[in-house]
Amino acid sequence: MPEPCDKNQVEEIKSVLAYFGSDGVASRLDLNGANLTNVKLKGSTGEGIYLLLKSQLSDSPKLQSLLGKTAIERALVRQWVDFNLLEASKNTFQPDSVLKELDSSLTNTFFAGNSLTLSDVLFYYTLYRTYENLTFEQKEKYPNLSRWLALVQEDAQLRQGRPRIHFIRTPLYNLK
Amino acid sequence: MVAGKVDTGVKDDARSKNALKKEAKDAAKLAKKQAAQEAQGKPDEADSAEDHSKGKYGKLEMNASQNKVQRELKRVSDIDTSFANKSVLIRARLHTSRAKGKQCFVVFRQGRSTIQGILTVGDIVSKQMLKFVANISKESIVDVIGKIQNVPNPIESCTQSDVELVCEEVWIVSEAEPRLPLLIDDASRPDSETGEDGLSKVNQETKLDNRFLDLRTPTNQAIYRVEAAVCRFFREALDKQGFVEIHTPKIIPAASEGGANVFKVSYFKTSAYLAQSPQLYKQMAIASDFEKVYTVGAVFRAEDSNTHRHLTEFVGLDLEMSFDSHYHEVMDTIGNMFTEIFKGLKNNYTKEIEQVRKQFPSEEFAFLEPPLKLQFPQAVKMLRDVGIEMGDEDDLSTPNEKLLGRLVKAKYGTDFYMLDKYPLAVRPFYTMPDPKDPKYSNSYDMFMRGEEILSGAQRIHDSAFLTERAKHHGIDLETIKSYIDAFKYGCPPHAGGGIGMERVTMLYLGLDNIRKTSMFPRDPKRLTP
Repeated sequence: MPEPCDKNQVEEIKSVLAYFGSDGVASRLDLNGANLTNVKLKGSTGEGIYLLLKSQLSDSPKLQSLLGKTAIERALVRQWVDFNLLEASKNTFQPDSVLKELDSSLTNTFFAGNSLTLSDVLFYYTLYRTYENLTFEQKEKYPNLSRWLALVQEDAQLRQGRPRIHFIRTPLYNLK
Repeated sequence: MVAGKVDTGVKDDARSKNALKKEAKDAAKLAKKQAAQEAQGKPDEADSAEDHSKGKYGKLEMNASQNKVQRELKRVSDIDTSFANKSVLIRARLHTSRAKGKQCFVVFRQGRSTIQGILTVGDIVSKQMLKFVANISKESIVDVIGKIQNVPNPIESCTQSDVELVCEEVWIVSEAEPRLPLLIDDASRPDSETGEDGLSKVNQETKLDNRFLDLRTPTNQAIYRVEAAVCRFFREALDKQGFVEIHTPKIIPAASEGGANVFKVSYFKTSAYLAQSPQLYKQMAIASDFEKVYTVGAVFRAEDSNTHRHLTEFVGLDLEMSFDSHYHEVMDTIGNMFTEIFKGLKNNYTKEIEQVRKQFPSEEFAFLEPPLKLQFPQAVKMLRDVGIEMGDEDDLSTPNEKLLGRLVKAKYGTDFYMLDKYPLAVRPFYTMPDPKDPKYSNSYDMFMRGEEILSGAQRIHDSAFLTERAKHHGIDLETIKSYIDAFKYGCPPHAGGGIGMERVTMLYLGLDNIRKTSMFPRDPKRLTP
């Protein structure tokens, strides 16, 4: 496992807050060994980025718009946020099984439907560090996930200066 | 074993129950043993009865060329329905046998062909004969005389599937020991069929340790015939162009290229080295007016690399050619030579290639005519376009070479291409620099399925310039004195390159390990057989 994994995961927390324009909140967080799953305010008990956003940014229109428009969408957003915090954020690099599951679930353009939601925002940061290290052959194994990442990384406010992950559209490896 | 304790309340009874069970088991075992012993050692009733097949089977005396006998042996591969009701004599290996009651089914194997044989106790075959044949150990070489008959349903497991051999005489020519280190069937099994139903395969180490058995598999029989063809087409393509085959020494006084990876041998009172390449001698032959030469011989590299594509000893197919005005004359000759090899294999060895692909599936090798030629800067651009970062004068790393191979295949549809104008900084000191751009050189690499198979260049044929370049590379001129001397008395401009026979075969067939194409491979961990 690469060394500065704690640092990367703290970066993710900061990036999520910056996406919603609330980086100021970072100073009130207990960032020691924090990641998206266990981050909490200093002196408080509630854990996880979702609770944090809901409590600190409850009146942010941007957050509200990304929680889902219909009931189904809202349910899917919750489901995927939970999945991310339980499964995907656990490890610095997700195992093949998680990536496969995400890939097969991406039948629509985004995770919860046809527009960007909080689930996509969180997954971008969680998966970025994995995708940075994949070979082209591995990226070809997850065509939907790769397609999704190539799409969402075009949002400059989401990417926040990170280098774009490279994808090759032509299939090179004839994977069955 | 017993899951939980059953408390019967009376311990002694429980024990004696178990003791009784044990006794019964032992008695059954003993009875079985006795029955087996009787069946083996002691002559049973069948034997004491008259054997009407006497003189039709048995073990032949070891052949020390006692007699000259004129008789016609048929090749198993030739036997088909046209032989129906005819009597034939074959010499083949006993591949498998299965006896059931009064019948015995045998499969005979000769090279890559197999045919089913059948014995039924009756007028021709006695019980004793059937027993004898059923007990012949696998891989024994046998002479069989019998009648061919057509079969109503094709025998899928045999190559000669529409006939079977009704055996009348069976003689052992050379007996195999009963315990084989590996089974030919297991060694021939494709990976996709192993694991399920407990079908086993043989791992590479075991195969290599028992190479003389492993080489008998139909796949290996095919692979080495393809490899022989690679050499044949190499020679034919170059002979047609007026090349002369030469043979260069392998025991040399000094390390030729790069020093570090040479084997040292004791040479009487001093030491010598095993040649890493025939480079120096190829060029001396050019300086000696042979104009176009090639050599096929052993190459020794003492590299401690344990990879799928490195051997410490392999066969190099090297060529060197003097040219008129431009080194592309040589590059094109080499490209055309490859095309001839690929075409020759594709048109004449389809059966062998198919046999290999049965056990080791792969995609058919695609190539263009004339071969694709790219420039090094183009390759760098293709890699940079997909996000690979590299400098203009950087060499291609192995992963980048592989990725480039994939990109080229996707874009141009070929598994073989040539890459021209490598950066000067990454090539040996004797490479001629590009006259128009000092960053680059008149050198080239060629690739098959994304792996490098040839490195070549225009060589510096001027001794003064060669000395200058050697100094630039910080090479001790004393160690290469004889090399520089070769160019002191007039030498035509020339270029060339060398390929590894095993690597070309491996990549053409789409195999994953070079040990599959080296009959008795040598690597840092293997010196036998």
